[in-house]
Amino acid sequence: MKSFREFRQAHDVDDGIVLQTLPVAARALQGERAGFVTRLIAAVIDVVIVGAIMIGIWIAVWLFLLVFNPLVEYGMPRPGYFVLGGYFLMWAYWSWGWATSGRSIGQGLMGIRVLDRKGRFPSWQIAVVRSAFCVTFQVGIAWILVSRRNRSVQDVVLRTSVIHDWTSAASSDLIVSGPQESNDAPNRRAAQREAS
Amino acid sequence: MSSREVVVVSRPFEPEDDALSLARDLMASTIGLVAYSTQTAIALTQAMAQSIIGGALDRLVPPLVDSIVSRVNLTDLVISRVDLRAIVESALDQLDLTEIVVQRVDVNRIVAEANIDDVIDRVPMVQIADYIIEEIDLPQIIRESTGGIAMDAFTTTRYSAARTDEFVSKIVDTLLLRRKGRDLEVIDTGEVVDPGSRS
Repeated sequence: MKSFREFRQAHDVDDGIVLQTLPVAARALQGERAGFVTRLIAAVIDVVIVGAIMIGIWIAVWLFLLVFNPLVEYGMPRPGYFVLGGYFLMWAYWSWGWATSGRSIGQGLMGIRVLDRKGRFPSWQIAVVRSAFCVTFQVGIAWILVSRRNRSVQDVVLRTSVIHDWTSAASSDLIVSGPQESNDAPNRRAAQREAS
Repeated sequence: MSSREVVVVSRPFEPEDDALSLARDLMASTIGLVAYSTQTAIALTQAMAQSIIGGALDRLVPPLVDSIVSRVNLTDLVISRVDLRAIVESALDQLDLTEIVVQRVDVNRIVAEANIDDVIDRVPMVQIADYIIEEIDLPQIIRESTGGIAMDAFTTTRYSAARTDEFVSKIVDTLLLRRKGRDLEVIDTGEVVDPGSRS
């Protein structure tokens, strides 16, 4: 059996215990800026999700109208409306995801996270603006390919960054938070316990 | 520096015929002889007395003290007559007990021989365990380490995507004739702590 002294010599307390659940090969990735492929896959997943939601909404509306007015035939809406609705939903979806947890569902699946210029969760304003920028200027993501710091055009303009963070939302404060916050963590937990 | 010169002049012996001066010389010699004899006698007597008394004391005192001490309970005497507290306190004031213990006492040996079970019985183990579980967020560790097959698939996808990123970055950097690799650390404010890359 390994003695505690040996264990302590091999493990730094500041290493963050939660990350030890990650695969060893992936630990070095955590906190690094994510690359083009990862972010593209995440974006495609998000687009597919939003597309599925759009189709679901359309089917629901169609069924609703069919039930109450079965004699009138409703075809597909004009593509323009569909795309416009999709864009709006995409914008709302990304804004909500980035402002609340720093990641959309696609980004969550790919283990990446959006940070503002101070390395924290983006604020509502940043999230909304970045989301609108991403929806309207999708090709901005291609700049990652040539950027030295894996930044998209949106990242360059808004000074945000997208990093690998394979931990789930609850434990990610180990990566994202600054020293002050991590020092406050026990107090915060105690306060939460008292409140509950 | 001045120097002095002594001039020795020898002259032939001339006996003094003067009876008065003869008597004076005789007197002086007698007084000197008496004084010397007296001093010698006193010194001799003192030395003799010291040796005699010392010898006598050497023989007398030990049995005397022994007989006195054997008749007296010294411990009771000290306890009743001596202010032990004052003595001990003044001794403690002059000593740095902590330093002495640190230097002289093998604490590790004491701890090694101590009965740890008694100590552990007094330690609030459950509270400590609770504290550790809360600090390391054990529920979170369990959740993240038991994700199942779906989680493994995502881990594989994430890892593959990350490796592909590296590959693509290298190709692009080579095409752009960049010598240095990419700067992937988030260093804008230095606030992002990256535990993974440190280990």
